[in-house]
Amino acid sequence: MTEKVKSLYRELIKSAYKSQIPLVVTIELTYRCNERCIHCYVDQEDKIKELNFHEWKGILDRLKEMGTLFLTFTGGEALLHPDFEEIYIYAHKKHFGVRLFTNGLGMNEDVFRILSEYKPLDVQFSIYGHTSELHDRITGVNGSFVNLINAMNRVHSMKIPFLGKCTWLNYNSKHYIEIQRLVESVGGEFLGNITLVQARDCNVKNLDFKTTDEELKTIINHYTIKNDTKDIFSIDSEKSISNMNHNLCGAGVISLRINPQGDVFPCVDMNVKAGNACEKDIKDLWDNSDLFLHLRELKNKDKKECKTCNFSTYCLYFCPAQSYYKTANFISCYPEIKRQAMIRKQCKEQTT
Amino acid sequence: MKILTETLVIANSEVAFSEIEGRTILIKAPMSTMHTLNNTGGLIWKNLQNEIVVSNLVDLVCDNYDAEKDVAEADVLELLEALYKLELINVKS
Repeated sequence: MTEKVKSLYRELIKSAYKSQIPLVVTIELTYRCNERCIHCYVDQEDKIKELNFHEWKGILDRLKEMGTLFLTFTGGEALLHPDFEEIYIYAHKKHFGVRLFTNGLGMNEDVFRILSEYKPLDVQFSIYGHTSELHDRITGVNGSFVNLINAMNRVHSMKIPFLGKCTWLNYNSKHYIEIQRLVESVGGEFLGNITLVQARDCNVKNLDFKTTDEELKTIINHYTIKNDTKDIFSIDSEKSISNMNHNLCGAGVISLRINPQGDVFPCVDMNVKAGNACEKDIKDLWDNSDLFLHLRELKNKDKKECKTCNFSTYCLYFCPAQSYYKTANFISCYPEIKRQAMIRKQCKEQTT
Repeated sequence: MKILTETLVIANSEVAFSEIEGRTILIKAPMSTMHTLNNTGGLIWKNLQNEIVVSNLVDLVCDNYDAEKDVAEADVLELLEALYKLELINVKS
């Protein structure tokens, strides 16, 4: 992305915040999945009634009127929805900037044909290992790694940009360099995520797979010192102060998520429902639901615990959704984010 | 290709767009290209969603902005040339 595009993108986000436009919408087409990742945060609900093409069509029409630009299809595994092709093509023809999140396992010739004809902004693949042994162990499906790499190669050959996204777990964190190199070697951009999202059913079992302090330290050091990533050790204090009147994040302010049944949420991580898009006009929900109005009122200055916390200047990824899981309060501290801030501080102290 | 007042033009169907605070944002995959249009550009863009002759776009601008025809024509042609170079529109002779 060029500097000019980055600047335009920042302006766009700023305008969306100002006008409270749902610029970024995530559509979960289905919760069904053909993999069984050990750390998955999505409930494996196989029996819920999923919205069909006609129901999604009505919602997409309304989102277009509301100003939505970026539309991400995800799941579960989005490709398993029986109307995926119709829904995807319709979204493309409505001129949304479409993104597809997938594990690559269900990508067949039909899917490649659709992507080739109706190009997405990008495809984002989940990758958890640099070998079949490691990746398949985490996804629970033999052959998932081979399928994934084949899918990445095909998408690259169609000149569609793609990301390989990896959640760092205690299983794979030792191999962060190899996984990144693998994604880059097949033409993709790599994105590692250090935060393991708690399961939506509040079962904390998936958090057993989070990285240890030492593993996290190694990753943070690598992506800061070796790659000279600026701003990861601390947020500029002046910038922090000027952001005090800013919203906590974009959830419910510039973003929303719709699940397979049409339930509307502020973002992917936040499992608090604003209403249902089939029962009520989604614009009405966006403009008037108590949840969205509440989130828009919350500002960084409301995070009282942060004011006395020794690690606040190292805390880069405050997430109201994660806080809510733990305390039913959007502005309280979430221990995992604090752990990351503490480790970031330790890394900083060791390098100075 | 030179764009003239009698040329048929149409938006590239691959381009995603949205209108936010009076500006039209255009994004063409891959993500590395993003463009913004002002109110007048946005009006032209909306009307480029179906095939249209350039002279009709000029008339639209004149009607909506009370502009003189030769000035509007020059501005519309300049914008269309720029959009064409960026592969945001297709041109049919």
